Amino acid sequence: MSVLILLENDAARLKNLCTGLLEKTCSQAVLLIDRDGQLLTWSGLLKDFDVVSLASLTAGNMAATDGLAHLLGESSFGSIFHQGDRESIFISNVGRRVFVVVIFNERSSIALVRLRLDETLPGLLEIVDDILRKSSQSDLSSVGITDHEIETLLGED
Amino acid sequence: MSFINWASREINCKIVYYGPGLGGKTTNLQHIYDNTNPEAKGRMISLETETERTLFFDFLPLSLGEIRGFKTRFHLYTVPGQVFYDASRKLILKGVDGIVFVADSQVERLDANLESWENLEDNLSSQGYDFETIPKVIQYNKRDVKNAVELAYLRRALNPNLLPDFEAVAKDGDGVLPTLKSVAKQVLIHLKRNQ
Repeated sequence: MSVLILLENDAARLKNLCTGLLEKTCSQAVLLIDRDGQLLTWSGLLKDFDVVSLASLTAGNMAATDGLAHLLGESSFGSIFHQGDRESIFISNVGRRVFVVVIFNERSSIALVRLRLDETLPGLLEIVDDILRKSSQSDLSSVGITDHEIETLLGED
Repeated sequence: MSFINWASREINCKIVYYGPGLGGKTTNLQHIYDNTNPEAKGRMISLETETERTLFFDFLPLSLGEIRGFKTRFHLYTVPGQVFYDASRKLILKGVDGIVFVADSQVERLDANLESWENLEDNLSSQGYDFETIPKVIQYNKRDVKNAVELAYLRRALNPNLLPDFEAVAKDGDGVLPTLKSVAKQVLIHLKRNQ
């Protein structure tokens, strides 16, 4: 079982890039999500928005899209675009383990989102690769949890 | 795959409820959702067919308390149990940290239980998991039906390795929370010991 570990300074670096992308695309929200549906970070105006559900559903969406790609002999489709009457979603791979979700409305456009995302992706990818490298070298011992604490939390009533 | 977020002080893990169709996987999640404090849970999502059978997955994010200042968050998923949705089951198993196998106690579903168990083993193995060591719990659901298979027989058939197991009547909530706590505990212990 592998573990993804996001340290505070890496979370801040990711959030900075997401905020920059948000501003450059005039979008409403930018989220970074791992392929298992875990939300790494997000930026934007998501008042009362259920980001956890969005992370799970987009991960399912990406997984199903990967399945379709494999059926057609492609390794991946790289990106997905859902266009609504008011809100639209653009999803793009950031390497193999993470994807970025941009939610935007009529203040922006798919062309602008694609353009600015292409500019931002190398920086995102560099940080994500750094996080994956650190995760492979880190462990849960840094949290210091003991068996007794787990038993106390989840033991039989 | 577990996710430890130092920025938000969270440990996130993924648990998948597996088993034959109509065995009670969604009912388990629904009971957990209905009987959990609002602040400990997120929205429950069900991607289902028009006849309310699970089409892709159910999803419920749940917090089970804190350890050392870290919130323990579990993402609970169900798979579609019907045989022909195997591609979806494989997708949902990606990144799983622990399994609850919900067996149907009805005698006519014994073969379906065994088929689903073998399917679980195949799908986990095909994704590189060690089937023997990944945390697993077996729940014998529908213990209240008249034609329920004897518990000892079910255990011999489904649980020769003596995994943690629980009798349940998920529609009434019996056995649901002990099953969840057992798999969550195993997942955290496994995470701690296998690093």
